[in-house]
Amino acid sequence: MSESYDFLFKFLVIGSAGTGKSCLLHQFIEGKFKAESNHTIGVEFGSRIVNVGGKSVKLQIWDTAGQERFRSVTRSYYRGAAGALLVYDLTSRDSYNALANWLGDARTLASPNIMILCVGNKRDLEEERQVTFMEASRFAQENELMFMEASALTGENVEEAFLKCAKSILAKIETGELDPERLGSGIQYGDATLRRLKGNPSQRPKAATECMGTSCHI
Amino acid sequence: MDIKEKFRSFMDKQKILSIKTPPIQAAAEFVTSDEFEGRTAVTAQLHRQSSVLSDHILTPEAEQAVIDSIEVIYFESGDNVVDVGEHELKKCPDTADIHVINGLRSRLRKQQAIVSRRVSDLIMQKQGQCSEEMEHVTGLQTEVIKEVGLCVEGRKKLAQGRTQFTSASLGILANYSKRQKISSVIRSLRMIRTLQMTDVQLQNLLKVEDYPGAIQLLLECQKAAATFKHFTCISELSTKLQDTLEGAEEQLDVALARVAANFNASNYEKLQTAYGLLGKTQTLMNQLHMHITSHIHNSAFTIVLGYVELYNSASGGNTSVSGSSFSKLQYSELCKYVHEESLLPCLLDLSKSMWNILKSYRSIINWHENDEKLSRECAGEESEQENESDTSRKYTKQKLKHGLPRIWQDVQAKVRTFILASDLSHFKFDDFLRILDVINKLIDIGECFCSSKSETLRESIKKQSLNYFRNHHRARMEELHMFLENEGWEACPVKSTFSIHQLMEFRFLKGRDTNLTRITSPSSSPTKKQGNGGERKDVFEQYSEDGSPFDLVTEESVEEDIMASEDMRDSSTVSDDDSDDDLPDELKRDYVDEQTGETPHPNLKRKVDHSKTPIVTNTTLTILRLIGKYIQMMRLLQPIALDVMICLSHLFDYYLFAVFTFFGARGDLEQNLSRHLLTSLKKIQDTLIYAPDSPLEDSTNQDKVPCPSLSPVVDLTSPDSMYGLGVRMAAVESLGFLATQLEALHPYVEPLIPPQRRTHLHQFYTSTVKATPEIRHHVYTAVAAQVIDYDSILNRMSSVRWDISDIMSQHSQYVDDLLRQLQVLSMRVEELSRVSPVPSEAYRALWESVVRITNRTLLEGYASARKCTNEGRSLMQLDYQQFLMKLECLTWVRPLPDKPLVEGFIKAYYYPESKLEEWVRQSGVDYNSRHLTSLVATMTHISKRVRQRIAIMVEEGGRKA
Repeated sequence: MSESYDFLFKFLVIGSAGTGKSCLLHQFIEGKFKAESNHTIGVEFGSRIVNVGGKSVKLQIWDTAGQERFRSVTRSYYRGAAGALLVYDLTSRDSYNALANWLGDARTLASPNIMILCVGNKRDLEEERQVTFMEASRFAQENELMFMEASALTGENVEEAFLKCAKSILAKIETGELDPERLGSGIQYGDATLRRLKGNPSQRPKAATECMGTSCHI
Repeated sequence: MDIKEKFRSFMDKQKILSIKTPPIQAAAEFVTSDEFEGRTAVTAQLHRQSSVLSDHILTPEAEQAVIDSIEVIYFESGDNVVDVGEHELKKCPDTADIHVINGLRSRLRKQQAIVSRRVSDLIMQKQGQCSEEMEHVTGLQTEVIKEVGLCVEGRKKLAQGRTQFTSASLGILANYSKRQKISSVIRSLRMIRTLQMTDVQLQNLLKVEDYPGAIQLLLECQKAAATFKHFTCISELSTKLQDTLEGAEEQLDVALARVAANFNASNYEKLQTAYGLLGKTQTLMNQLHMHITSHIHNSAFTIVLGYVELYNSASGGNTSVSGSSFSKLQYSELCKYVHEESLLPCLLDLSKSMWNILKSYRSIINWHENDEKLSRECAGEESEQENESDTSRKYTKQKLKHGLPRIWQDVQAKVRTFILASDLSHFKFDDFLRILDVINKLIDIGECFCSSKSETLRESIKKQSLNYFRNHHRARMEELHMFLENEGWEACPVKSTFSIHQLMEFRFLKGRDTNLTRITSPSSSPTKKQGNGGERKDVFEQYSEDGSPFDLVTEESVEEDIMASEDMRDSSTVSDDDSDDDLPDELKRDYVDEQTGETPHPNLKRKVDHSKTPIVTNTTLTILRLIGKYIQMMRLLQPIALDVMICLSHLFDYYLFAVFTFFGARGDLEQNLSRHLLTSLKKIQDTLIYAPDSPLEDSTNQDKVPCPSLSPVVDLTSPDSMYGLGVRMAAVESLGFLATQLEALHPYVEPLIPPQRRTHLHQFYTSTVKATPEIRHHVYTAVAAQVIDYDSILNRMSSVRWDISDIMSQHSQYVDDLLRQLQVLSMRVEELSRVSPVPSEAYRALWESVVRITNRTLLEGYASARKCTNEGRSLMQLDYQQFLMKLECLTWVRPLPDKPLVEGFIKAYYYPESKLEEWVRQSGVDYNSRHLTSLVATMTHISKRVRQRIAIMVEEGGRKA
């Protein structure tokens, strides 16, 4: 079985320590809640192929460490990310307050057109909530972010968050707002798209050639 | 009455007659009255004749004569009687003569008269007697008549008796005997009815599974039926019985099938007795095996079918095969339809059911063993019977023994087909492990069951493992490539106490002493796996009651789960600011103790002087995690441990290759690579790195990865970053850390690989892993070569005059320049160490490189002096002393590399002729011939002849070199 897909999006999961970034990713990839988890050291990685609007998209997700001391080593992974999940813990105001900081990092380091979806995690802990839906939603609006509340424990909205982000990137590609061929866009053609492009080899993007090289090994 | 009347009248007439006439004939018989009258007429005739005769009385003599003259013919009696008349007529003459005839007539008359008289005389004579006799006769007659009357009376009475008595009693007798017969018939019928009724009872018995009772009853019934076989209804009944018997046998068979699936001692015993009663113990064994085989077949099919249909109905069933037709598929085909989500539960169920079958079989064997033991205990008396049952027991034993491997083979085949039918390569590792775990358990069971090596299962496991692992590894290498391309080569700020033991993936190294010792002891069989501790208990005993080894599967595999574990929560927390300070020290001690005397201590951890924090990059951590996983895979996928090891080495190789290509390969310095490192790098490139111009479809490229390119955020060229010293250090030290960890893991890895196949492991350790120091050297030399502007120093040196005539008290300017640059370097390194730890190796390697290059540069500078006076030489000494003095403050690296080289070169100037020659001969090899030539050229205080000789010597030496 060869892994074929139309696009490859580079995603980031960022946010303060303990907001549940790795759990969100684990839930998204493994479909179950990771009960025993430690703070992430450096970065971890996960990938999954999803179907978005009839296109299969491989999401290549970098799960970064939230602790401050890792900030420097995780920055190199921001580069060229097409999408990001900006995670805060809705039971922790501190993690919410840090959002602006994280957002600044993402905006300066990642692809300029990066699609960011703000995720309020731990929705299952309703009674410990410190950040209301309304205020987070307002924050998102002011900063032109998409917004969702999710729970890595129950899995609620986890898949939706990733899909929503991927969907809006795809929409931008279709409207021409995003050019996958531009270097550092965080988007690559998959081999499925490449086959379609084969008729006109001159248009074949360099990034895509590399990507084909990799995907053929899978 | 009529008859009586007649009788009476008749008898009366006789009385009258007997008085009147002499009885001519006796009338003792019953005569009719007509006859009687006729007789009387004859008697009357006789009376008349006697009256005629009385006229002619003659003398007796005359009478005699007359009588004698009577022709003979008249006395003829009987047959010779002739017609007397005719005879007389013949006597007459032919011519009728009356006289003759008269004469004849008279004679005849006379004769007749005489005869008649005679007759009458005779009659008279006898008259008395006659009447006397008559008297008697009459007496007799009356007697007779009386008797007749009696007779008649008797008869009459008899007839009456007969009618009145005999026929009735005979009837009674007949009836009696009839009654007896009927009652016996009734008895029989009752029996028959009971027989018929037993059918119900039989069914009941069968229903409550009392097979021996049922069979016993049936056999008795049959026997009974045989005794009544003269009844027509019995034949029907006995066919019915036969049917029931067959039915019962079928039921037995069904029960046997049930026992085969789920052993039940009491049921089995019943069955044994029942079959024994039928005399079919051998059939039982055959049937049993047949049932087990078919049960294996059926339950495997049913389970798989169940899951296939379950998933299909859940998913709406839009596969090409519609739901109903799944049941028509072959097992092997069906297995292909098992969806991966349901594969594990399906496998578990399959294994469980197979387990139950095996367990049943084991129980059957046990039962027979016990049975034999019991029977042996009570043996002795009936030796004859023993013999018979002995043979059948032997048969059973034999059969059961042969059955073991056959059944196991069947089970294996089923599981194998199931396993191989699906492509497991896209499974999550944990799930795959669970599947493996199940298979391993099955192998264990097989071992216990019939000490089978389970080649079939092993082969399937190996095949799937290899397939899975190849796939897994390919994806991991892919990921690694990505990590490398995104790597910022910054040291990940881990705690100073960080060790791989804090990574979840390496949990298996500690806290599991039993496992560890087992794994590290080389004697341990490679087939064994976790669980059971030291001595392995029989699985069948372990789970003798109920349950199966597969019930624990989920639990156990959670233990195996690399990603999560409860008991490791505290110790494995690596990066938590608060929680990791207490444990790791102790942990480290453990680790060190464990390692004592086995492997070199991980150096990084013991060095306290500069920084003990290990330097790891994100990629290093990823690789370490992968290594942990791989080692666990080696433990779990024993059959492909070597393949995993090779792949594990690829992880390291790839990292090494990337580090070298990114940071070590710098221009002309590359040619200094040792052959050893060169071959290692070449090998890595050939096996791992995918050549961009080779066709993609090439199968050899399947496992290759592209050569990584350095992330553009990494700056290696700016002097401000000391040509990327920081990143280089992170890269090379993380590589070093990785190598150290691998060394430390060597004792864990080695036992996992079959001894005869450890060459690759050794090769990996001796070539690639050991190459890391050299790479470190290359990387730092690359920095050292750029971080100081050697050319300008050389330039400045060339402008220094060495042919001075005064002794200088002040050292030259270039020394200060050089020292300033070195000071800057030192400060930068210091700065760097504040940001990220600078391990002593790094520090030493860097400074050694810098000092060596600097010394070489100085040597070059000194050697380039055309002219040199004694004073100039002392300036050199002064300069160099100044340099050394200051340098020793800048770095702790001792000894300073190449220091004697420079010092020796300067001092050689002062050697006398004889000593000089010797020195050149001895140390000439350390110097360039150009250096020596120029040295000798400056030594104007030596005779020209000697200088020429030495110059030739140097030239020859240079040529030789």
